[in-house]
Parts: sequence; C-alpha cells; structure tokens
Amino acid sequence: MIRLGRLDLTRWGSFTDRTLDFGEADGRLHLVYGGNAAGKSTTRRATTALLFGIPTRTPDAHTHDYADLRIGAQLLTDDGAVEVVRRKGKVNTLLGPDGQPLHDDPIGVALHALTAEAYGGLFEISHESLVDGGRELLAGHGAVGESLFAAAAGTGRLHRLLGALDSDAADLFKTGGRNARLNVALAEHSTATKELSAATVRPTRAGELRRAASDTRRVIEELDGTIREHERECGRLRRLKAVKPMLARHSELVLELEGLGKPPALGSDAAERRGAAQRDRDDSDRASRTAQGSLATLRQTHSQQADPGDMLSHSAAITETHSQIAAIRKAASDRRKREGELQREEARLEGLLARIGAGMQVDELDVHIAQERTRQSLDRCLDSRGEIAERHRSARTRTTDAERALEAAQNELTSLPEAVGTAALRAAVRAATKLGPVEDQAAEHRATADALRAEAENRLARLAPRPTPLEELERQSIPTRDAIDRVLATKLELDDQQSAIDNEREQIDRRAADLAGRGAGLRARGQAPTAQELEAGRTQRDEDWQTVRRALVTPAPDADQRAEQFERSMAGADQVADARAAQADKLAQAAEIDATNARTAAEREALGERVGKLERRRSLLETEWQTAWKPSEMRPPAIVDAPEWLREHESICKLVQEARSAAGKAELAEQAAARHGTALLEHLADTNGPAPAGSTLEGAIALAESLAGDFDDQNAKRRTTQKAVEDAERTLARERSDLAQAETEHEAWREQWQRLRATYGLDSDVAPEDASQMLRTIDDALSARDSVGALRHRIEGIDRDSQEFAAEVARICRAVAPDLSGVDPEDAASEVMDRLGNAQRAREAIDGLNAQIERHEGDLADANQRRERAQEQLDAMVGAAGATEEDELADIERRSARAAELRHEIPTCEREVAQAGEEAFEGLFAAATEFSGEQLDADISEHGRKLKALREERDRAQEAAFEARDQLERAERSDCAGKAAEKAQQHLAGARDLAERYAVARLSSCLLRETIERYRTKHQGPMLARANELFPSLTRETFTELYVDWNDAEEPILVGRDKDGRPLRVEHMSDGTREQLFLALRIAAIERYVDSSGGVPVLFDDVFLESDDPRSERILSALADLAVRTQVIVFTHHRHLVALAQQALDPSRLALHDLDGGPPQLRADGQAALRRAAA
Amino acid sequence: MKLIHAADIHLDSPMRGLARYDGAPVEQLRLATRAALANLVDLAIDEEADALLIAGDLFDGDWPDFGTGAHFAREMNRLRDAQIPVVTVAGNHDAASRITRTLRMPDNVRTLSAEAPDTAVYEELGLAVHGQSFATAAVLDDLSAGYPVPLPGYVNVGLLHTSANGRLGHEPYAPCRPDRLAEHGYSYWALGHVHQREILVADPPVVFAGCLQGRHVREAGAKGATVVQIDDGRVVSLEERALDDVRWAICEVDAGDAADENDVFGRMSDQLRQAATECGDRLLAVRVKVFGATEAHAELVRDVDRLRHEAAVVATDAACGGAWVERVVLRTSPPSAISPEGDDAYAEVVRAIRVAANSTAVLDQLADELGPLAAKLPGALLADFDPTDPDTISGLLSEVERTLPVRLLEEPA
Repeated sequence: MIRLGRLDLTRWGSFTDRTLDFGEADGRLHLVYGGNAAGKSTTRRATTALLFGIPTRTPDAHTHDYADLRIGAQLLTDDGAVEVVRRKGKVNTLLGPDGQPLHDDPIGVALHALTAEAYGGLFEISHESLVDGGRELLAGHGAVGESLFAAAAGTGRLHRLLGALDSDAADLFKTGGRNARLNVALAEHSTATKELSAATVRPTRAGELRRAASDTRRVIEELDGTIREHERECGRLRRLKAVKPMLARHSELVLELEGLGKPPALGSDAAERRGAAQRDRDDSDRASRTAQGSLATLRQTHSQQADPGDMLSHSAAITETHSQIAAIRKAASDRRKREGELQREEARLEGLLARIGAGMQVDELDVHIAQERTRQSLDRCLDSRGEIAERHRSARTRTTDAERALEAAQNELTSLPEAVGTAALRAAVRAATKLGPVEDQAAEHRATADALRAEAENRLARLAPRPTPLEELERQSIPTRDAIDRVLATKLELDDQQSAIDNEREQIDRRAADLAGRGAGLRARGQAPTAQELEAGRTQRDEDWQTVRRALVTPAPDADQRAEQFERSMAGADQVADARAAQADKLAQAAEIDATNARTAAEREALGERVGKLERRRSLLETEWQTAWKPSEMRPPAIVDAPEWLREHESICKLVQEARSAAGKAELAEQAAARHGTALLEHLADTNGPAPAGSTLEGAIALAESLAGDFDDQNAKRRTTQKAVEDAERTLARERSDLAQAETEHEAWREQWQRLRATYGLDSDVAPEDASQMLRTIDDALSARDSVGALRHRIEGIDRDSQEFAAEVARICRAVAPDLSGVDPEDAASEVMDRLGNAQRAREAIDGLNAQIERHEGDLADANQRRERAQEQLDAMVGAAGATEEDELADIERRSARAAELRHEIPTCEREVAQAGEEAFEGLFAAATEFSGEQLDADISEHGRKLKALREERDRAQEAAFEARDQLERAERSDCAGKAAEKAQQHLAGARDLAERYAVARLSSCLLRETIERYRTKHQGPMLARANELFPSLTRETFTELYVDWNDAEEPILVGRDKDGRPLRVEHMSDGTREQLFLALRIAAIERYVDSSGGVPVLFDDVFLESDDPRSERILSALADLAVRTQVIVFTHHRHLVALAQQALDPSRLALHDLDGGPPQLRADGQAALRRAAA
Repeated sequence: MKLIHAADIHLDSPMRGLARYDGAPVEQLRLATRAALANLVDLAIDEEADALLIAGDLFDGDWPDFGTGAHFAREMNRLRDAQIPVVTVAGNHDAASRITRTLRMPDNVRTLSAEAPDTAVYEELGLAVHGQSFATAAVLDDLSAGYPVPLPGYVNVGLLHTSANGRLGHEPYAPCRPDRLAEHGYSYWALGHVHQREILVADPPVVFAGCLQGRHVREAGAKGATVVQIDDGRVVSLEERALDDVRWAICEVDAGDAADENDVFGRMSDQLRQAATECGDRLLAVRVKVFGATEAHAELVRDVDRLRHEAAVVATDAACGGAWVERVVLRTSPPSAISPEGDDAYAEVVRAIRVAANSTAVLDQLADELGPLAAKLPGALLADFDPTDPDTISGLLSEVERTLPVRLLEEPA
C-alpha cells in the first residue's frame, strides 16, 4: 500500500514550494479544485513523476531548470511514513530527508512491478478515457471479456488494437490469397527461382553443347568432301564445254596447214631479209653517186689554199716566250717590294745582334745552331719549370690542408661518445610493440569487467527475491529450469482449476438464488384446496346434475335456475380441480426445486472436496517449491515469476562470467605488459639510459624507442666521423707522397738546368727567366738572318730570269722574224706570237680539206662494196626458194610464213585447250568427241542441283555448329544465373521479413485474445457483481441490473436491464450510460487490484465534465466509497462541484484542496527535508 | 618471394538477407564475388606475386551453373598471361560441386590430388606447396597428418582446407591441431574453410585467410586475402588486403536513455556514418541494431517503418558506394519493463507471453496457428525461419513481449 500524506511541489512546473497536505490517517475523498491554468495537470504529473521518476523531457521544466526540479512527499506505506524527494536524473533520483540517495526504494516496493505507463493506464482516469472506454464497449458490442479487460487496463484502444493486429496479419498473409504482401513476395520469389533455373547452364548441358559442336563439325567436314568431289566433276564438265569451240578451231588450223602444201622453210624473216638486201643495193647506188660529186668540189678548193711556211716549226718556243711576258712584268714589280723588305730585315737583324752581345757578328750565330740538341733540352727544361714548380707548390698546400683536416676529424672523433649496441633494446621494443596497445586493452578489459560486474551487481540488487551475493551466485544451488517450468505448469493448472471452481461456485450460487426465488414465489401463491373441498365440490356438481337431469326428464318451471345452478357447480368443481392440478404442479416444482437444491448442495459439497484437494495440491506444490529452493538458502520467488527470475539469474551469472573473462584478459594483458615492461627496463639499464618517468609499458616503449633512436643516431655519427678520420689519413698519406715526388722532380730539374745552362754557354748567374728571354732573342736573330738571305736570293733570281727572256726573244726573231731585231723583247715576243697565230689557221684549213677528200673516197669505196654484197644475198635467196626469178620470191615467202605460223599456232591451241580443260589435250579431245553439248549441259545441271542441296545441308550444319558454339560461349560468359540468384535471394529476404511480421502480429493477436479470455475467466464473477452494484447507482437507477447474456454467436455479452425490466444491450445505451458502465467496471477493476496488491493513489481528472449534478453526486459517492479502500484524488475546475461534494458527502469523507488559494505553509518537517534535499 | 593466400571464394554465391525496398541500391549490387575475384587477380598481378594459393571452396557446393566455372577459368587465364602459377586444394564445397568435376583449368592452375598428399614443386621459384584436396564433401580425418616432410632447399608451404580445432558455425571437417602444423617444418600454412581471418600460430604463421567476400551479415567486416612475404625461408611479413566489393557491417545503436525518437535517429546516424567511412567506396550492406532502455521505445515500436526509412536514408547519404540496409533490428525496451508479477491487465499480458514461451503445449498450439504460414514458405526460407519451430516461436514471443504491452498502452487513435 502506498498513499501520499503530503505532496511538496518544491520546484515543479510553475510551482515553487507549494504543498498539498493529504493527511496521515485518511479514507477521505480528496477533491483538488483549481481554475484553468491553476496547475491541476501539473500536480497530476507531479504525482506520477514522484512515484516513477521525472521523464527525460517534461513540459514542467519551464520555470525551473531540469537539474533543479524537485518534488517532495510524505509517503505512507505498510512500513510507515517516509519523507522523500524526487530529483531529475538517471540514477539515485530518490533522495531521503538527508538529501542522500535512498538505497531502499519504498515506492518500488509498494508499487510492486507497476511501471509509469501501466500506472497511467490503470490509475489515472480522465473524462476522455471514460469517453474512449464507452466507445470501446460499443466497438466490442459489450463482449464480456473485452469489456472487462479494457476496463481493467484502463484502455479505450483494446478493440482497435485487436483489429489492427488482425488487419496487419491479413495485409501480410492469407492462406489462399494472392494479393497479401507475403503472398506477393512468395510469388515473386517463385518467379525468380524459375528465372534462376532457366538461366542456369548445367555442366551436363555444357557437355551436350560441346558434343553438338563437335558432331556438327564432323558432319560439315564430310559434306565439304562430297561437295568438293561434285565441284571437281562439275568443273571438269564445264571446262569440257568451254574447250569445245577451241577444239573446233584446232581442226580448222590443221586443215589449213594441209592446204598450203609443202613450201620451203625460209624462216620467218625471209621477206624482211629480202627487202633489206634490195634496200641496201639501192642505198649503195645513191651513196656512190653522192661521193663522186663531193670529191670533185673538195679537190678544187684544196688547190686554191696558201702555204704557211717555217713559222709553225718554232711555234713551241714562240708560245713559251709569249707566255713569260706577264711573269717578267710581275717579277719586275715584285723586285721593288723585296728590296724594301730586305732593308727592314737587315736593320732588325742588326738590332737583335746588338741585344745578344756587343760586337756580335752574324756568323757567330752559327754557334747556337750547332748546339741544337742542347738548345732543345734547354727549351724543354725551361718549359717544364713552371709546371714542376706549380706541382711542388700545390703538393705542399694540399699536404698542409690534409694535415689540418685529419686533425679536425680526430678532434671530432675524440669528442664523440663511445658506440652503444641497440639490437637487444630494439628486439625488446619490437616484442613489446607486437603486443599492441596492451595496456589500453588491459584497461579496456578491466573497464569492461568492472562495468559488467557493476551491471551484474545492479541487476542483482534489483532481483527480488535477492539471491546470494555476487561472488557466490554461480555456486548457489537453485532449481533447474525444468523443475521450475514443471512447478509453474502445475501452478497454472491449479489456478485454472481454481478459476473453474470459482465459476462453478458462482453458477451454483446463482442457481441456488434462482431456486430460492422460485420457491418463495410458489410459497407466495397461497394454499391449495383440500381433498374434502374437492369432494364437496364434486358432490354438489352431481346433485345439481341430477336436478338438471330430472328437469330435463320432467320439465320444471325453474329449469333455468337449475341449469344455472348446475353450471356454477360445474365451474366451481372445475375450479377446485384446476386449483388442485395447479397445486400439484407447484408441488412438482417444489419437489424439483428441492431436488435441485439437494443436487446443488451435493455439488457444493463436491466443489468443497475439489477445493480441498486443490488446496492440498497447492500446499504440496508450495512445499515442493520451498523444498526445491531450500539448498539455495534464500526466499523463493513467486512461482509465476520464477522463470523470469531464473532468466535474470542466468543472465547475471553470464555477466559474472563475462566479467571474469574480461578480468582474466585484463590480467593476461597486464602480465604481458609487465613482462615486456620489465624486459625493456633491463635493456634500458644495460644501455645506462634514463629510467622511464612512469611505470607504463607504453612509456617504456616510447623511452626505449627514443633512446634506441638516439643511440642509433649517435652510433651513426661516430661511424661517419671515424670514416672521415680514415679518409683524412689516407688523403694525407697520398698528399705527402705527392709532395715528395714533386720535390724530387724539382730537384732534378734544377740539376738539369744548371747543366744545360753551362753547356749552352749561358752565364752561371743567369736566371731561368732571363735565359728564356735570351734564347728567344737568339731565335729571332737567326730568323732575321734567314729572312735577309732569302730576300737577297729572290732579287738575284728575278734579275736572272729577265736576262734569259731577252736572249730567247732575240733568238726567235733571228729565226722567223728578222725584221723585229732591236725591238723591245716584250713587244717583239707579242708580234711573233700574232704571226704564229695566222700561220696556224692556214695550216688547219689545208688539213681539213685533205681529211674531207679522204673520207669521201672511203665512202665511195664502201658503197660499191655494199652493193656487191646485197646482190649476192638476193641471188642466194632466189636459189634457196627454188625460184628462177627474184620476183617469185614474195609468194614463196608468204606461203612459207603461213605454214610456219600454223605449225606454231596448232600446238599453242592444243596447250590452251589443255590449260582451259585442265588436263591433257588428247584426253579432252577424246572426251569432247564422246560428249555432245546437250549431254554436257544435262550433266552440269545435275551436278549443280546436287551441289546446291549439299551446300544447303552444309549451311544448316554450320548454323547448328555456330548455334552450339554460341550457346557454349554465352554460357561461359554468362552471369545471368548469378544475377537471378541475387534476385531470388532478395525476394526471399523480403518474404522472410514479412513472414516474421505476420507471425508476430498473429501471435500477438492470439495471446491477447487468450489473455482477455483468461482475465474474464478469472475476474468475471466478482467484477460484474461489483459493477452491478455501481451501475444502477451511477445511472440513478435508470438501470436496475447489469448481467451476462449470450448473443447469437453464443458469446457472453453485457446487458443492462432498465427500470422497466427491459434488457438493453450496450449498442442501445446512450453514450453517457456506456461511459458510466465503463466507469463502474473501472472502479470494480481498481478495487480488485487494491484488494490483491494494496492501495495506490488513484487520480480522477474532471470525470464529471458532462454529468449533471445528480449523477455527479452519485459518482462522488462512488469515489468516496473507493477512497475508503485506497487514496482517491479528484481534480476539478468546477467550483460548483466543491459545493456539491460538500452537500453529498459527510465532511468526514471529504477533504478539499484549493490550488487557487494562497500557498499553504510547508510543515516544519517537510521544510527541513526540502532544505536538506536542496542542499 | 611473395605469395598471395586466399580461400573460400564461393564464386557467384549470392548476397543473402538483402530484401528490396524503395530506394535500395539494386544497381550497385553486382555479382560481388566476381568483383572480389577480379580484385584478387589484380592484386596478384600488381604485386607481381610469385604464386597464388587458394585453400579451397572456389564454388558453392550446390551451385550448378557452368558459367561460374568458366568465369573462374578466365580469371586464372589472366594470371597465366602474367606467368603467375596458382595452386589450389578442393574444399568440402568443391568436392560436392558439379562445376569442379567438369571444369577445365588453364595450365597455370594446379589442383592438388584428393587421393593422397600431393606436392606442387616450382623449381624456378624454389617453392614446394603441399596439400590434399577433399575427396568428398565431409572429410573427418586429419589430412595434415599425412603431409610430406619439408623438401630441403625449398620454401615449403602447406595448403589445407580445415576446421582446425573447431570453429563455431563451421563444419568440423579435416580437423587438425595448429601447434602440430607449426611444428611440421613448413614456412607457412595457408588454411581455408573458416570465413573469418585468423592467425592461429604466429611463427611459423598458420593462417586462415578468411573468405574473399562476405555474403551475409554473419560475415561482416573487411574480407580479402593475405600477402605473404618470405625471405630466406622465413615469413617476414603478413599483410591483410581487403578485396571485397560489398562490405557487410553491423551497426549497433545504443539508444539507452535517449529522450525521444529523434535522439535515437541522431545516434543511429552517427553510427551509420562511421560504418560508411570504414567501408570506403564499396557498397555497404548494413544491419542496424537498436538496443537499450529508452523512453523512445514506444515511439519506435509504433513506427518501425520510419526507423527503417531513416536508416536507409542516412546510410545512403553517408556511403560513397551506396548502402543497403539489410535489416533494422529493434531491441529497445522501456525504461521500466512491465513485470508479470502484478495483478493488473498488463501484467496478465506479459505473464501469458512468458507462460507461452515456457510451455510446450502452448508452443505447440501457437505452432498450429502458424502452420498455414509454414506450409506456404519455400524450403530455402524454412531452413532459416520455420515459424512452427519452438525456438523460433520463443524468439517471436520476445518480440511480442516488447511490442504488445506498448501497443496496448499507446495504440494510436
């Protein structure tokens, strides 16, 4: 049980420090009044938030921040009063008066397993929920199960949910349907599967295709062979047909040859030769005549030419002398230039001699020429001086540099630290690194273990009843799942039996009540007439009959009166008889009632026995249950909760195992980290490196890697420097060697210089530079001397040539032109040369005439000879042709040439026939003789027809082969099957999803309906009994009864009976009546809950919205009755309801709270609690 | 020497569990196993590998299409052109495969004998690959026990299709002990059959290469081959190379303490984006699993389709190569669950569900209810989801327990 003694809206919604005091001892109906926006809904939400926690998002954080929201309360539970404060958060949101989280949750214990949502459905009742409930009753047509369950769940959505589940299922799948989504998906999958099957080329099919391709290839080859044979034969026939005209031509040629007789074989050029000979003879005659005329003319011209004389015999000397004229003139000019040059050279020579030595003569220069070898040595010696000196200087410089470099490298090497080995350190780092982020992993595993353990602890703390502590949880001996299931099944079976017994008892009670009513009715209908009265009645009737009879026999004046008397007697007797019969019937009924009562009593007794048995079985079951749990040393859970408890227990055990596993992994990782960390530290110590700042492996790895890197750099630098020292040493040695060699070379030069200087006769004190200068001067003097000599020789030569020229001209003039004596030699030479030209031209003219005469004489002789030869040839031809005259030759030659042509043409024709017929001529000739043209045409046509058929057959075979190959190739390249399989899988996956959704919808529907039926079976009697009490009251006796009837489908439905005794089904009730019926059922359900599970605050929010005052009054009264059992808080914004409640209810049953009033003061203890909580 | 070690190609085996929905990237989902095989061949050529080793299961055992084998042979031809030899052993699937029996491999492919341990020797490489193919689909003997001793002067590699010392979800074929493999004297053991990559022994390496391409959500994560570098007869490096064309992933979204649906969507978006980033430019096939106690539970349960839609939109937006949401599994719970302990209607519902889950009789009854459904489902689906199976119904009842009370409380008007 839980009630609110006080609700503190400390910081909630628009409230700050507002308190509603409900009082400690209660049983009153709490009516909370507030106008619009006064905070009724806020207060209602505060109640829920207090009990179940403040939601993550709430509309009541508009004034205060989320973190500041506080709702306090004094809670009254079975364990007494407790002060609590609720704050917003994820954990530990319920605080005690000291502001500390409450470890024991008094609210959770009191509310059992209620959730906020279930509480809202069950215990928060608004006008809207009643309207929904009324509609729910209408939608369900008052079905008992659904009505009771909907009222118990406080939902107006039950029927809608059932409909939605059925609709979902129907949309998804229908057994014989085609359009439901799953049916469609399955059809699509089936289609895709067929596509896959069609797209799949099985290996056997591929083999078939291969074989088909191979077979058709063989057939094609055979057909090709046959076709080739036919083509050959057909071709032969065609060729035969083609050569037939050629064979006819051949026959014509043979006949023509025979017609020519036997002419002599003159050769094919006989006519040509004859023509040529005749043309030669005629040409010779013409040439002879032309040569004779030309000779006569030439000879006449020759006799008229003059003689050139003796001039031509001196032509060479004259021409030579004439050719020297230009040279003689040029030499005279050159001599003048050479004279000038000679004077300049002689002056230069004189100056050089003076520089060599005073009084130095030209002849003395010969001394130096005599020492040519010495001079050459001296030159080489002086030339090499600079190079040797440079080498010596350079070697010295380099040696000094090398010495300095060596010293610097040695100094650097000395300054570097010694090398440190890092291989072991590197190996340790690699080994540690290979582990990965082992410490992170360890921490992660450790965190996982802690989290899992915390979760296990947390869940263990929530597990009620609580088993052993976590450490012993796995060892705890608890019953097996099978044992629990077995006990649970037994308990459910017993519950079902109990429900059945309750129902039966209820029916028996109802039957008994009915019988009792009927008995009372019977009793109320008075006493039955006795037998004496019946007998008296009959006697009176008989007497009256006798009187009537007598009157009939003997008419009497009072016959009418007697008849009337008889009729009355008859009626009276009948009445008595009827009364007796009726009484007998009543007696029979009474007897039946008695018998039924007796049966009912027996049934009651049997029921009692069954109850007893049931109780014993319950007791035994309980004992078994307790025994089964005894080894666990804990209070067993409720049987129905045991499977869930066990599941949670197993789940926690699993968490413990996972936590242990994670811890083990963490430990292994930590050990690995420690092992590798230690190894690293040892290696670091070996290297005298610094210790790591922390104790982590990661730090050690980082330090070790850093140090190893430093050591590697350091070692590399030392190796580099060491190499530099060695290089410097090698360089220095090399430079020193070069220096020694240069010094030796320099010394050798010096000795050579001194020797050569002395040998050459240079002064001993002359410097090498001066000696070089001296030698160059001597060379220049010798050169000048040679120039002077050469110039003098040139001038003498010119003079000599001029004299020789003049002498030769004089000699020529004396021989051929004495008239030119005394003339200037150059002019004389020119004149003689002119005369020689004239003589030469005369000579040439005479020689030309002589040559022409000689040639024409030769031509004449040749022409005569040719004529003779041509005539001889013609004569021979006449003889050879067997002719007598030259004129006969042409005809003989024609016949001879034609015969020769035919002899050539006939074999050619035979070759052409053989070539065109592609076989020997004789065979073709014979075959042509054998076949007529018509026969050939017929045979060719027959072969063509066969060939056409064969080729068509081969084309078909080729198409088949191509098709087989194409299919095989397409199969090899195909991915269609794979794609079809993908598609089929996609449809299958879709179908699976839909099937799962259908199954969930179907199971939900089945289980919900079963739950509804189970609830009906269990609660129908008491709930309807209580609702039957409330419903007439809430409807102000418009309805007198609520009972269960059966509809046409034999389903139980709720029916109300109105004040006129008419049954009314819910469909025929007004909306308001249905809402009141729903309210009656809700109140009955709440009372059932309170009776079994204890009281909880029940909140009504303006449920009077559409009720008139009298009905509101009845509702208030019903709620006040409920308030006796559990706390009831009614929120309203109708002021008149307050007055109505004050009027309708005794003040001891009502407590009023006004939200519009000034803020009430918090009580002292509440203030203290809030202050602590706020702090 | 550089070797490529691959296994379990299962060529043309389709992706499973991907149901089509509006916006699903149907076009992007090609034949992923073919693309992965092409990637493997490209890798061998690009890396100038000395040999490719395939440790069995080239094809699915029940896959009969001839084109699949022909495609494999074509890809091997590319390796022949690059002068890269290929050594394979037949796995349990290959032994059952009809393709294997009729397939003509190029001459660079050597399939080791099924009758006795066999050795492929490559003199020019100094490589000896030892192995034995499966003769039948179910080989329960330790094949490795008969493998020959190492050839002196060669790099010796063992090729074996095996379950090793047993792996969950894999048939226990050709069992062996990894430590004994390591002691056999070979430089490297290339194993197949187990689809998850795993290094059983570090030195000498005994390695499951894992499958080349994940085909369903249980094969999530990167899949591919191992590049093995061997110098002086010792393995100096093992490099895992992702070659899959479709990347399977499970995206777990912790909705714990989420205030509302949008909060959950935000968390899901973060997780999906991370998965998409890890996936690269492949097609992402992702299962989204939302769990945790949250006030958004009721909203989520009421509109699972919206959650599915959000997941698809976010995944498609985030993934470069497209994304296919395989399934959205909703495993959230309300902040406080309704207990069967109470004496109210909601507790009655929960109690009925739990009793049903624990009662053989009720399960049978529910199986009868779902019998017509089972009768209509094809065998391929029943193998995975038989609605009449008690365990399946128990699982479905968990879903009913998560959703039914919530819908009863908050079924919208």
